[in-house]
Amino acid sequence: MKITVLFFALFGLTGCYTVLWLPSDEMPKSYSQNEFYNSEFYGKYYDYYSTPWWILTPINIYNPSEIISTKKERNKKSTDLRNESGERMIFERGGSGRNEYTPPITTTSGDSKGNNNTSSQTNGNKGAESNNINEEQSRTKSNSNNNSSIRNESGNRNSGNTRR
Amino acid sequence: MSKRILFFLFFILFSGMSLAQNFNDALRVGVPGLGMNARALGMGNSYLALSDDGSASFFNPAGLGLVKRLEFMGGLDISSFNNITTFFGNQTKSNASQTLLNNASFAFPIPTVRGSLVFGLAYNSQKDLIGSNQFDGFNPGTNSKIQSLLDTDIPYDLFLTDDDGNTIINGRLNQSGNMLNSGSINSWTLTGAIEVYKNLFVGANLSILSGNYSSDFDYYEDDSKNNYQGITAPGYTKTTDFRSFYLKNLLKWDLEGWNAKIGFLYQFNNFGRFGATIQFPKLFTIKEKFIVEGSSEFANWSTSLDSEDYSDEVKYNIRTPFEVSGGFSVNLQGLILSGQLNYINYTELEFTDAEGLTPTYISDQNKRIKSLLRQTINYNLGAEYTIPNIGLRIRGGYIFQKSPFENDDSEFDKKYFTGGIGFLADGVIGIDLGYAYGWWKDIGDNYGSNLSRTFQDIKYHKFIITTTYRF
Repeated sequence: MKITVLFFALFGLTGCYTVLWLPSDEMPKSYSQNEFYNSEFYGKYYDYYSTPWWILTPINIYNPSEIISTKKERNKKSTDLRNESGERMIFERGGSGRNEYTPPITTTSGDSKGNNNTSSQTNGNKGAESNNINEEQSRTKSNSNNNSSIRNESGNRNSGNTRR
Repeated sequence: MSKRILFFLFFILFSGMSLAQNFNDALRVGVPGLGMNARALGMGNSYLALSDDGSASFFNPAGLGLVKRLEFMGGLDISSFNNITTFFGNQTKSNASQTLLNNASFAFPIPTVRGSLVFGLAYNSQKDLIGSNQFDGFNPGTNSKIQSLLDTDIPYDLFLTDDDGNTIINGRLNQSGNMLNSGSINSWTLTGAIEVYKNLFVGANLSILSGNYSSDFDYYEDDSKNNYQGITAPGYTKTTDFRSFYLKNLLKWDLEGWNAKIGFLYQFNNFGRFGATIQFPKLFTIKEKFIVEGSSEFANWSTSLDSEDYSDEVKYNIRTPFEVSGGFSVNLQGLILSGQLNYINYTELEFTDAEGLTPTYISDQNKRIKSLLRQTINYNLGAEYTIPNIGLRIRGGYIFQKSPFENDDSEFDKKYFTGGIGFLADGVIGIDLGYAYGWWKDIGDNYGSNLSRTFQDIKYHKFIITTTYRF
């Protein structure tokens, strides 16, 4: 029993010299070097014995609210950067165009099997309109793919697309 | 030597049966083992003032405070015990060997702004319990094991006496036997160390002990010169022409227990360290099975014992003495020299709380321990040199363990030369090999004192490999 008390008493004495790092503290960047195995004679052994693991592998602790804040900041900076580049403005415009752009309602002329000929004329037949919209969606998608292939020619744009 | 004989006579006089517990059982757990760290072994286990790895739990808990990186450590141990026994002019060789997973440990340094706080959990094999003894020779004396057992029913049950318990056997028999011992003492240890002042570390640990031990002893007495041609047990003609007597003792232990240790370590001027430890008494609880088998053989008949009549199970505690140790190490430009002293008062070994043994018997054993044993100071010396640029470390050391028996000559002291090498791969994986060669003499009596004595010349080899991963 006495030994048990002594054991725990020893580790209750943390106030003497050792100061523990707490997550709220800044990570220590320097440490008290133990020169018993000095670098002159021990080479790699020096780090093996002397360098604390939290210096080699710093502990990163994030507050969730800070993470959100950081993300917003990153988006903001990205936007600013894009605005500085004409090419990227085109990309941005194209991007917003995909969301806001209303494609012309097209009608199919010729046989019902449909060729790829399109026009901007509006057909008053609702049923036909509906079919045409479907076809337009398909074509829009096709256009999107075409755009994508163009973007692939630009590393920057492709990179931007990936981020979104 | 004469005093030693007197002590053995004292032992024989006061023990009803030489098969029961005695000081040898206490010494089995009381004498320190060689540990489980290859680097330490290579340096003659002079590691008290280094202990800057997971093996600090065994050598000096304070040393754990020097560990700066997360560390996994594991190791393997191969031991070989070689005994050349001289018995009535005949020499017989015997050998026992054992391979153990001797260490698995983890050290976790807590991040600090200043100083050090490190915790560790370790499984250690503290000591192997291997041994062997084989002998064969004709004892011309008028004594024998059969005669020494006349205060038991064994000779009677084997038809080696008349109905009143008297025997015609009067020595002049060929005696032979072989003993094989195996087992180990292991521990699960929780260690903590803290830097309480700049460069002053304090550590402590608690260990749960476990282990096992087995001793298998076959003993024979043969009428090799046909001295006993007549009837051995009058009235039983089948006992004509006694040929052989056989006795087997099988001792099996299950050990458990606990102990604690505190340690201090101070590093001065970046080149020297001083360490000290206090090992509190270890308390072992021994659950013992003792199995006896025996037989006698005559020209045309043989018989054997009912094993259950002589086998039993008992339980008792053994408390070991305090161990106080102090040591130093200095680093002289890549050459580390270390030395340490260790004090043990073996007279404080004690049997307690026995179940199945009478209190008076236990008390007699404890008195015998105080009479037979003594205080000892053991020492260890070691050196390590790191070859610059290569990173190879070469080591050498010497271990001296004084015999715990009062008035034993120096030839009974255990001496070891040790050596080893170490290498660091990729700055994170340490590989160490350690070897120890030990030699000492011992004696053993089959019964009585110097009536049927084996003179043993022991050579011991231990090889340890330890790997350490720090990240």
